[in-house]
Amino acid sequence: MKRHATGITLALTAALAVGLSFAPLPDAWRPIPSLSREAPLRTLAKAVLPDRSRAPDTLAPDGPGALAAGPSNEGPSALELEAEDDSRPAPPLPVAFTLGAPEARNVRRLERMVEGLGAKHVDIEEPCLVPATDGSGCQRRALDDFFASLEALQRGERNEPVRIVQLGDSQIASDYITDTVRHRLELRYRSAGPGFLFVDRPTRFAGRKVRTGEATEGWEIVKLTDKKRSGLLGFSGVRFTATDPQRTTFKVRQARFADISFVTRPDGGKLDVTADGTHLSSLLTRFSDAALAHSRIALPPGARTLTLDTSGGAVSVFGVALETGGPGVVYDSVGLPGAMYEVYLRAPEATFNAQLRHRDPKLVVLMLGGNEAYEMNRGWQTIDDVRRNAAAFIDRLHAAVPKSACLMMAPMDAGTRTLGGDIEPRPHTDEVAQAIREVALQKGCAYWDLYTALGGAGAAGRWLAKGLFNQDLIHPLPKGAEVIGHLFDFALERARMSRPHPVITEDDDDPPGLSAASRRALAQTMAKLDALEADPRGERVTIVQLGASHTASHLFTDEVRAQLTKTFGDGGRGYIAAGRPSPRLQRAHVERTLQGSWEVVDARERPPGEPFGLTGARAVGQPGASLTITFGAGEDGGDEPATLSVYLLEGPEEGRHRITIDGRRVPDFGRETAGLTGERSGRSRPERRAGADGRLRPMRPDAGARPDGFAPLAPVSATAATAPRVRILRYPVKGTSHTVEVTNEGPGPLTVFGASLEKDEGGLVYDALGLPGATAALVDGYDRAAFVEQLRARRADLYVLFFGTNESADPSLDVDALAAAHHSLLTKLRSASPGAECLLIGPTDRLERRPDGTIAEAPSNTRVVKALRQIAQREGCAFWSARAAMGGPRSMARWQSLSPPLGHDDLVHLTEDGYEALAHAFGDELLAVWRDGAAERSGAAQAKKEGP
Amino acid sequence: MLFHQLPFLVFLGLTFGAYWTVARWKWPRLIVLLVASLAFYAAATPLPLILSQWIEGRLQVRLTEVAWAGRPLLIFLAIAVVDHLCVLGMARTGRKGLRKLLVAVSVVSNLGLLSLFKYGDLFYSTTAALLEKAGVPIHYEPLGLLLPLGLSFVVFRAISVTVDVYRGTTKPTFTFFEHLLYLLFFPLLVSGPIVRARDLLDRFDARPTLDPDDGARALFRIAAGMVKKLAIADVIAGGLVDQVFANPTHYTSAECVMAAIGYTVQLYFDFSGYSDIAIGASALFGFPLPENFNKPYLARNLFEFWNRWHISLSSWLRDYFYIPLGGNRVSRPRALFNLMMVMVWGGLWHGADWRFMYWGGIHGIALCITRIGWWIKGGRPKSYGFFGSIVGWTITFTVVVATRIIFRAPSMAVAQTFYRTILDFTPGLANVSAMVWAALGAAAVLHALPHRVFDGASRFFVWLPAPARAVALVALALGLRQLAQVEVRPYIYFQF
Repeated sequence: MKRHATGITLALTAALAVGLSFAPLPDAWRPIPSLSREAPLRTLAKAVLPDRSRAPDTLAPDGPGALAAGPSNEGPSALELEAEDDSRPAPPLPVAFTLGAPEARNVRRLERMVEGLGAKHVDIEEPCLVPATDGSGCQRRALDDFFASLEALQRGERNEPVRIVQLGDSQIASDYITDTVRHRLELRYRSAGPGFLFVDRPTRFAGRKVRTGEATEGWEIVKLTDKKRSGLLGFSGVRFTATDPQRTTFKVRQARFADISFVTRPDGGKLDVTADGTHLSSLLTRFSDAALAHSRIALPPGARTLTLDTSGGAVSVFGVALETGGPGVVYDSVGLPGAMYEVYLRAPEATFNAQLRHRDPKLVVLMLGGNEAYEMNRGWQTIDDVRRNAAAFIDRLHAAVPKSACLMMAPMDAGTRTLGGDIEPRPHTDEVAQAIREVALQKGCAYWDLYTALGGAGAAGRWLAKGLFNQDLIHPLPKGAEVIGHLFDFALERARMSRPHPVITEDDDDPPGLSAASRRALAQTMAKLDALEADPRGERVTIVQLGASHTASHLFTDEVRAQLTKTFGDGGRGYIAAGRPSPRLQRAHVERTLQGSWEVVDARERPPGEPFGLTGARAVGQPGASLTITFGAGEDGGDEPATLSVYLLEGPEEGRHRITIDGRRVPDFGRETAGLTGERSGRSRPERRAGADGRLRPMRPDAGARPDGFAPLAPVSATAATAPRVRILRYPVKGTSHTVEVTNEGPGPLTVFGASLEKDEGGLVYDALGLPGATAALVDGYDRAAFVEQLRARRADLYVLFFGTNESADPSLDVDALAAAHHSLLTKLRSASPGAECLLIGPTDRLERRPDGTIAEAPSNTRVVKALRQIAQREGCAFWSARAAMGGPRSMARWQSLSPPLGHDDLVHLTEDGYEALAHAFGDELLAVWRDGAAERSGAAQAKKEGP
Repeated sequence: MLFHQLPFLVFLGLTFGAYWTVARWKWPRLIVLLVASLAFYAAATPLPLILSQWIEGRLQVRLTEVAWAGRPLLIFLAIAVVDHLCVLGMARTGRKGLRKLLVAVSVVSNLGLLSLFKYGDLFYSTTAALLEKAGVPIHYEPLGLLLPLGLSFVVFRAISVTVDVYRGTTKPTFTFFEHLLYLLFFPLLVSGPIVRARDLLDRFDARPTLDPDDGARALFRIAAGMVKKLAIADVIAGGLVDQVFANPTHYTSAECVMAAIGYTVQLYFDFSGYSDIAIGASALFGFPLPENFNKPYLARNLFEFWNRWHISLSSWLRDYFYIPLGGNRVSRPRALFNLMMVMVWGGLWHGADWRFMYWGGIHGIALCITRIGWWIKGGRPKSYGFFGSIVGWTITFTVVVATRIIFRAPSMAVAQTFYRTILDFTPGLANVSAMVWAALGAAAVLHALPHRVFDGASRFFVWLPAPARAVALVALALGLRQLAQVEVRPYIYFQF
């Protein structure tokens, strides 16, 4: 017995611990309380297989370390990966949605995360400020004035910004939550500038620099959270003082005005203000009394940076507010790590009031309480202290900005780890939330229960397990903060929509997305995509997009192509027009050069009826000139069988062409076999024959017969023996990375249209055939035979027509002519590819600057959208409205005001980010149609196979 | 799996049972220890997550993913392979040059790995910054290499084996398996102590025994370690140190001073608590280990301090770095240089941040001054007397506390702010709670009590019958749970 004393001691200790844990005792007397709450085996498994989460960092509850929360290299959490899965149906959106299609994708992702986290949408509670005179209801609620000003923005009736000031602790200082809310509000109401920014990070050493300038290190920082006497401080809570020359530089981000908040002092120095190095103003801060002062300075158009330099004495600055001066939303996020209601009460009342009054916010949002709960847990505060401080702060707020609405948020759950490795909710958070609610409703502020929205007690542990909370169990990671911002944005939007007559930006006549009829119009394409997905080496699917500058920029089509080929495989780059070098092609790994004397002509410069390439351009080279097109530059194109085609014009006056592929001359026996007319030539599909495995393979000539290894397939077409005719020379190659060079050997000029490269089997090809300034009528005017002949070689399964933006600028638009041009064009397209389906994309939102500086809708934008929708219906095509996807009428202004901007300054085109966003929306829509119908098509196919 | 959490205690109990069931056979018992050590380490990697997802059928496991998740273990395996080949080479040759080459290969490969994973980014970023200052800007992107937990300790243990074999103080008769187990033995794996081969590797052959009294002492030692960590170190950390170091400007000068003292106390009770558990756990398997601390804050000079603090590291640095450099049996300037080198590099060993080097450097300077003083006086003082002891202790403790600020602050800039705040001389200790005062008081008493009191308590525990010990241990656990229910923190030295 004694020999095993140690083992017996251990066994008895374990038995006693387990026994006590199951005994009917208070938790404090149980060594492992979770044993009686969970299945014992589960607890044992948890004990042996440790918690998935790592050990906690040694972070203070709300210190500078907290600001660094959210390592940049964090990978996607399991929840995020699930949320990214678009095949899962999105939960229905709780409010009419006014953000535009690109953000809708994000919303769907976040909604899935909300569901997965056990979080929920919680409505904002609004106390009634003025009861109805008949006593039956409420005449004015807490947020009425705020929402009224937002709606005035929406209607274009307000020319000033609507400012929102959010005060809070480290959760706000990091700006992750507020960043999401700001982005959403700017999408809906446009941006009026970044708002209030600090000179440097209040903690200097930690945190993000998104809401600060880039400052030199000599600024002395005094904060409200310092326990020493702080002197003059306002609602922003931080004073930056330079006693020797110091500098801070801000990114201007489209702002036109800088409002500098500084403190006058008897020993005050000079503050020089410069924009991009140009001196704008010098502020002398010397005055007999220390007081808050402001200076509003206009910034030169196009300024990128604003710099403040101090000299000649001490200069104290609170910060700088950067604004456009125009209508829109400004969302100040002013967070102080360690802040509490009591901390904000430390600011001298006069300074606090003066600074806040100067900002003139329409809404003040308060996200405090987490540090109060922490202090209560330590016994440093009582719930009465919390209630008293919160109430005193709201009184001060009402005194400072009586016309401003206020909204108080509950603190979010925080967790602590126990000895057993369990995560327990930190006590007192719910008590603090309740106290804040009482104060809010009593003092006329709205209240949003963030604590409940996140999932109540234990939320921190659940969010941690899903990879959305920091190991400190106090701060959400950036991805978690995005979910919180989303929840708050929806709460605000739902509150706005609960008003009697909310402004909805969506145009009832122009709903976003593809309608049921549109989806039916794409049935065959979707079935082909099904087949392609089932057999990646099956029949290739080709989508040909014709359009104007939106298409010609390649930005939109490159993104759509990238998105679709991710699912269906890459079938090759498709058609590239002959022309000058263009950086726009680089994204798709295509390079183009012209050597010697070339003239590039496009259809806008010439009368109708002339032959052009598919993009409405042709390159005419003099003898000796050559052009090259490189597909898959810098890429490994693989070695799958593919076809490289050259599109050119041949005729008695045309020069002889010499073609090399990857530097090797390839034979041209098209000349010998010429004589086929366009009408009888041209397999719209490569001829196929059965291989040994019974699968159809493209027919290829005996390459072994030619020593150079290249052998053109039979020439596809020619129009007539003597008249200029389109020739399409097709060469079998391996892989999708090749350079083709066409040289004019004279004696006459040589006209080249372009070249294409695509795999023989499998994959999706997305052609971008755009000509800046083009309209459907212009394209319809190309030489019919040449146009149809080239199109036939493209073997289109789906035509996408993206016209209308240029037509929108025509004040005397003839809708009938627009319809006739589309009908005629579609007839040609269908004759080139019988059976191909069509999809019309309506124009993007187009605005114009009036001479008085105001912005108005382009004269025919709405008419074109409506007309194209009707034309699509009449022609049996699908219709997708780009303007609706952007967020409806006047959405261009909002897109243009975002940072980074999505809309171009010309209010017609989009930026690279904008095209990317629009393309994502379009690609998502196509993929959604495909996914939604997949099950149905599969069922129908099965039924057909099985028979009656 | 932290030593002071339930999962480790369950794991320890299960391993203890399995080990002593097969203890009479060498290989089964060593296999139990190696499997347990691998499992212990794997618990700190994503391997359990992959395993659980695989069991739930949510994941198709690829070998490459498993290898990636368990790459720290593969790194340790590589260390063992290279070192063991060097050991075998030294065992088979008597040629001095070749033996020297082999030991050099081992030392360089070990230090190379440590440099790459621990200091790669620090050296790279510093080089980039210096080049930029010299007008040669280079594009710097962090290497992003994750430091395997415990690598610093494993590397030092690994070097000690090959050097001992080279010196002939350890016989190269052990197998690769034993060599690997010596490196990965779980009670010592993450934060030491840095035991020598003679303390562990050379004992694998002998059949272990566990005297009932030794077993009870081991349990008492583990319990004492828990108390140090949970009742003192964590209480001081959560109640004062973390907040003050996070925002020193929020606190008065007096509170900052208390926080610096608090951190000094916290660090000792955290690390010595960990060492107690490691030593106790090792003893449960029949491997008693030497002490790692000896009341360091009672030291009357810095040399004494370093002989009492983290003894296994200090002695390692002495035996494998200081003495090979020539120690103090060289000219006086060279002896001072050797001392500085050991302190500077020993400081940097603690973390990939130059502030650790500054910290070590300051200690080095203080040690040099002390030594010069002794040279001037003609030698080390033989006795201090009461007044001399008080003065010596005060100076030593002040230097230790003042330099701990650099050690604890997240950056040198924060440390500067901390010092500036102290020099404001603002009074007030409102933020030092009664709990923190109590923990500091208890710490002072425990530290000041002579060893015999601790031994007496240990003997009393040993004297108790097994059921009474069980009751005492459960009661202690309940008490600690009440104290530690606020937050549980990892050991500070885990980060090194």
